[in-house]
Formats: sequence, structure tokens, C-alpha cells
Amino acid sequence: MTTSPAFVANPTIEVTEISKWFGQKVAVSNVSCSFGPGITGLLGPNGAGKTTLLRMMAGLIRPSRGKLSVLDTNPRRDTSVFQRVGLVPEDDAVYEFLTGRRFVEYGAELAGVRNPSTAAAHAITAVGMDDAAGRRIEGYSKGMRQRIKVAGALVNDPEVLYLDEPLNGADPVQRVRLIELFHHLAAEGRTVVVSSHVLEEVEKMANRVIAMVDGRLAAAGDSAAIRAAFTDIPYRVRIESDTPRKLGSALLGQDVIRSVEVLDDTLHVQTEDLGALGHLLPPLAQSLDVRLTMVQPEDLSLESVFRYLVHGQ
Amino acid sequence: MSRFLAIIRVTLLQLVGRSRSIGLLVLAALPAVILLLVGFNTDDRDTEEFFRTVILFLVLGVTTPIISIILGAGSLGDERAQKTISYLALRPIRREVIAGAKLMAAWMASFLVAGAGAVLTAVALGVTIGSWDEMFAILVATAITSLGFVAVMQVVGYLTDRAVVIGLAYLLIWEGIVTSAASQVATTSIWRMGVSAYAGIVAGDHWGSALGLEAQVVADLKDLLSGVLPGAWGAGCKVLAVAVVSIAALGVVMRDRDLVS
Repeated sequence: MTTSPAFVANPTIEVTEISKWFGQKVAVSNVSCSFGPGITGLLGPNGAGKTTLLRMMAGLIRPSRGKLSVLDTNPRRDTSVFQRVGLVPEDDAVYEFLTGRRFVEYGAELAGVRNPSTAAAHAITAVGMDDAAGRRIEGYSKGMRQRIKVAGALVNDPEVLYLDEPLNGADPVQRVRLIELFHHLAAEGRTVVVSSHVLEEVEKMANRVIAMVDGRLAAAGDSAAIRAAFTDIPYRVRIESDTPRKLGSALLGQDVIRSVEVLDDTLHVQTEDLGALGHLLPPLAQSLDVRLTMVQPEDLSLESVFRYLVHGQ
Repeated sequence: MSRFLAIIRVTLLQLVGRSRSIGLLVLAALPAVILLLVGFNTDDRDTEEFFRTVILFLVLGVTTPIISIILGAGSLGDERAQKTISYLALRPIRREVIAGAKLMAAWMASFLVAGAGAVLTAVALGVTIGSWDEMFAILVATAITSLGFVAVMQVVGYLTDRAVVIGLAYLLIWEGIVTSAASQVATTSIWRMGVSAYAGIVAGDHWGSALGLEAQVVADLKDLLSGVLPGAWGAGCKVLAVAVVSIAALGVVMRDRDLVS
């Protein structure tokens, strides 16, 4: 089983043919993979099933079918495993009437940590929230809420940490700091699973990526392999000009162009190298005396990229 | 034990938020206000009879149940609505311990508010007719009534976000109409458990006349209880059984159903 890039040699989390449906809607369909120490990115567009998979692994929701094991335990059956697990949910799951410090201390008390105040202080320092910890959470910004949630998840010193879109709302400085923290946690041998719909974000955090689309596992491997798969995808570009046919004929002879189509006086060009097209187009238009009125990439959403990976279209 | 107490502390803060507690305290004080307004315009005997009506119907039958419905539904319902259930449930704590601590907190909050209203009502009576004998009975009955409603509503509140509406419908239809019309099911009425405790203290478990109640008062109480025997211990045991069933049911539901939707 470990030969597939979806599996690791010494897993702490094992997901076997797991599915989850809500009524008629299939959220996760027959996914098998495993996670081990280090950071694994769970990548996919909105609605891909990342959060549902993460919630199943965390024990928040029950799989409709399949088997799941976290630290050799079924989290739905044995709550003692939560001593060793932490979750940062995507939702704004905070007690707004508590101060940040009390919120984290409460997490420590619930986890049965020996000295809740000290554990909370360490976790708060780790996320850089010392200055604001005495304030009520209701006055926190989105980024501060994210960080206090991370502190709440870290307070019991977990071996397995689930992070659902953990950089949401964080400013660039906070992002860098949080990413450093996650790297530090992974370097200590913890299993960190980070879900995100932003490839660049996942690339910065994870050395291994599991990509999901439409509830299924679309691709798995190291970040570089996933990035390479992404860059091979042909992009469609919409070009509007005063003489589309003349420009289209000239573009057809270029190496970076895969196909050219004229629809309603608009050029639709397919290329595998957006950057090269960007460099090529202005001088070419100038030399042909063509006036460009609009150049716009089409279909560049992450959804379309994933769809290409899964369906090849 | 420290986890149990930690949950109680945070739940109390969660349930008794500023705007909610003001609204509930106003509701709890309503019977006392009505009693004071009416009490000064009638003679002692009428006031005593009116007082009993206010206690049995308004305090035990309306304000205490409504307060308990709202707070009982909110104890776990708020956690689900505000998505904090993951922070609470993904901890190494047995589901029954969470349910028990939540129930205890909701009951304490409910008794704090409804009990304050009941004390105000008893004080209003004391001020009006100079009798303070029934304060203890009123408080015990309020405690029993609120525990019963909180226990039921905690389960409903966990299962649906329309718990308060369902609770009010239950109060009106089941407690108000069905158990009054059909004496066979009167024993299931939480309101009557509270009334039974009150009657047990003021009239004695065997309809004696501990506080020298008049025959007419005893007859009225018997009529209201529809065959349910008076007795604080019996009523207490019944609501405790309801609470235990509620905790056990929540333990099963939290294990077998998704914690978030």
C-alpha cells in the first residue's frame, strides 16, 4: 500500500475507503490515504470535501462508510485519543465572552492538562498573542481569532494537529509566523494536516500534498510534483483586438500556442505557458499594427485546474 | 471533577449573557409584580387564593418552564449554533460527563433566575398578607420544575435549532392541555411534579394539613394534580430520573450522530 503517493510508511492516521454523504449529497467518496509525521497539505477547491475529510479524521463527524484510525484508535469510539489531538476548525469556533487567555486555559482544563495556566501561557506565546490575551475575544480581528484558535489546539501538546484553512484572515506577517510555527511543530515529529484551497499557501507549508476534487482523491505526492502537474495544464486566454483573424494567424505559428479559435470576433487561445504568451503578445501586435483591447485569462480558477487533473479536460 | 466544574463555569457565562439574563429576569419578576398590583386591592383571603393561583399556574406553570426551556435548549444548542462544540467535544471527556455538566449548569442558571422570581413572588405575598410560611415550598417546587424542563430541553436543544419553539409548543399542548384532559398521563407532566412537591410540603405527603390549609385549598390542589400524589421526595426522584435519562440519551446521541452539520 505504501507504494502509492497517497500513503506513507509509518502512518499516524489511516483512512481506508472512506465515504460520507449528507442525504443525497456525497461529500467524500471512497477516499483512501494515510498521514504521518510532518506537514501534509489537503488541497482542493471549495466543496471538494477537504473539511468533511478533516472533520471525520478529527472525530467530529462519522463516516458513512469505510474505516478510520488515528493513533491506532477510532476517534468516534475512544475519546482518550483527544488527549493527543488538536483541531483548528475553519469555523469561528470561539467563546466570544471569554478572554483569549481564559479560552486557551479552558481548552487546557478540558484536556486535563496538569497546569492549565502555564500550558495556556506557552501556547499563547507560541502564536504571538501575549499582548491581546487579556482582552475578550469578541473584540478580536479575524487574524487574532485564528491565532487564538491555534493556541487552543496546541495547549494539550498534541501529536496530531488538524488545521482547517488556518491562514484565513491572517495578515502577511502573521502568516509567516504561523507557517514557521507549523514547520517547527512538524520538525518535532508531529503529524500536521493542513487544509487549504490556495496552492501557494499549501506549497509554503507542506512537503506532501493530497489534492481532492468533488469528494475524491485527485492527486497525491510532494509539492513539486503537484506544482509540475499544475504547470502542464493548458490555459485559455481571451484576446480582443480590432483585427482578430490577422492576430490569430500570426499566433498560430508560435511555439507556445497550442490552438487558436475565433468566436464572435474574439480570439480564444490555448497555451501551456502564460508567461511566454504575455511576453510575446505586445510586440507581435505592434509589429502587425493590431490594437489589443483586452487580454484576459479564462477558466483559471482552482476548480478548473483540479477538473483538468481529474478529468483531463 | 475539574473538567466538570470547568464546563459548568463556562456554560454559566454562556447562558447568562447580558441581554438574555435581563429578559429572563423581567419574565421571572412578572408574577410578583402582578401579585403586588392585585394584592393591594383585595382582602387577605382573596389575596391568598390569588397567590396560590399565581404560584401554581404562573410561576410553576409558565415563567419557570419558559425560563428553563430557553436555558435548557441553549446549554448544548448554543455550542452547536456557535460552532464551539468542536472545542468542547474534541477533548478526552466522556460524553455523559459533558452532558451532566451542561445539565447542571443550565439547571443552576435556570434556578437562579426562576428562583429569584419565585422569591420575589413569596416576598410580594409576605408584604401583602404577612405570611412567609410557603417560601421553602415554592423554592423546592421551582427547583424541581426547572430541573425537569432543563433535562428534557437539553436533548431537544442538541437535536434541533428550533428547540425553543418546540419547547413552548410542548408546554402549551402537552403540559397545558393533554395532561390536564387525560389523568392517565398526568404523571408525566413536569409541571405537576413541581406542584406535587409544593403540595407535599404545604399539605403533607398524605394530604395532611401541615400549614393548616383549608379543606377547599386541599381539594383544589388534588384537582390540579389529577391523581398525582403530593410529595417532594417522590417528585424529586422523578425529575432526577428524567435528568439521568437525558444525560444517557445525550451520551448516545453525541457518540452516534455527527457533532457538527
